[in-house]
Amino acid sequence: MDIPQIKREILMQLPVCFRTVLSDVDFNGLQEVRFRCAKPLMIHTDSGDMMIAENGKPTASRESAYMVSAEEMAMLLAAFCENSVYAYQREICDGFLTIKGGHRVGISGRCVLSEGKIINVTDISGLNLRIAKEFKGCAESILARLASDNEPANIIIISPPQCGKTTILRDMARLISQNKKVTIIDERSELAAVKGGTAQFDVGIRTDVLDRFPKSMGMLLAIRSLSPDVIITDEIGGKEDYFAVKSVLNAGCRIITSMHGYDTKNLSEERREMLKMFDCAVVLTKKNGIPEVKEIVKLRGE
Amino acid sequence: MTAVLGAFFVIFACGAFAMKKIAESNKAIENIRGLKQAFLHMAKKMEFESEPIASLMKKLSKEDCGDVAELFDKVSEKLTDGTNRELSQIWFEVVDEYAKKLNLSPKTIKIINNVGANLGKMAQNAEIEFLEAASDELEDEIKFAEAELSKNSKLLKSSGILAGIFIVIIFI
Repeated sequence: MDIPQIKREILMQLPVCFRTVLSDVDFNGLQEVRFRCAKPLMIHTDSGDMMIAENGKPTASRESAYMVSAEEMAMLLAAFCENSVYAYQREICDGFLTIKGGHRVGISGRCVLSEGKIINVTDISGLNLRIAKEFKGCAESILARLASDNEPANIIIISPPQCGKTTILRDMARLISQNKKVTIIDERSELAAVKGGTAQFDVGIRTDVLDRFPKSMGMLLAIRSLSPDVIITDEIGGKEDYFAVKSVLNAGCRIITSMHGYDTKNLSEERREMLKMFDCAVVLTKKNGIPEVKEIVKLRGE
Repeated sequence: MTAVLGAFFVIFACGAFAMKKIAESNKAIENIRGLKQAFLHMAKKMEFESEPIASLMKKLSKEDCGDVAELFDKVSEKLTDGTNRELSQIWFEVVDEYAKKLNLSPKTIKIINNVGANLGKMAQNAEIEFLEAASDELEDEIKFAEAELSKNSKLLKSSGILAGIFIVIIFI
């Protein structure tokens, strides 16, 4: 993980006003940058939240904090969308977009509904930039425990947000692709963060990426056309995902995916049903701000 | 003999000047046609490729849309220069730079600047409809410019020659 490079990459995607302010911020331990309309610019680090002053230094006083204006928010959204809202429309409706480097920008604003569906988010009031980091080797010990005869198990990673699900999945793709064909279904462009056809993260040499494909469609398409040994995708949950995972398993492929949750017990009935399709669950948690494996649960036969 | 040659040269020069003006008007019409074509291509690309505006304009600049290709290339270049400026700001700057070179009328500039002011800020359907509407406006401009040209071309030619004769008479 090259922090100076991540910093450069992020600053280059910001309008000049924010670039200047954030250029002095220490990116070590930085997890989020919060831009809220008419509110102080804030960062979230391993040690908590802090406001940022105009000189880029952390401040405790609201008066000296850099206040984000509505115009700056519009400029920021335009910069994140590469001046092309239409190209990011689906992501905006989903509430976030993925920028170069795989960093995720969460969006809050006014929702526009049509026939019960979100068709747009306007009057953007807040943007939350989540810094994506690549920890090569973080999945080695997990895979070593869950693979037999070089065959990875069907794994589901369960954790609350920000515990490293995506990072582990990405590293698993890289490790497994050393000797197996892997297909990543990257619905949110987070796992591989493909830009212009090139993955921004190292996801391995035998990995194909279906970028921005809806997960269920992507899984079925991958079985038909890419003959993967292992399919990796992030954050499953819906009914259509359930049937797609079933199809993947019926086709003799392995699947590794993730799900939001705190453990294997406190899940909805629907999700518990979904767990039965996997060999094991890796539950992640955060201790003192640092993500770690809480437990590995064998699921088959339960 | 020299006087006759001189007189002939003056008349010819005035005629050529009138022809140049006609050629410029034709070129201007071609450029509006190129812009119209480019907007329609842009709408199609937005619909089927959904690429960000910078790479879309780069592609347009390589397509057959005449001299206006340069304008799109310049906008794309400025959009990716790392300054992260707003598209509308860049668009106005480039149009301002190229308006004279492309011989665009104030009405045409107004139409394309209106496109630049809104481009990339709307949802896909709205962008496409907006670009199609701008193309229709440009088509009206083309028709108007063609009508003006056919009305004025004879007048321009004859007034060029008449001006030449007039200058010769003054000299005599």
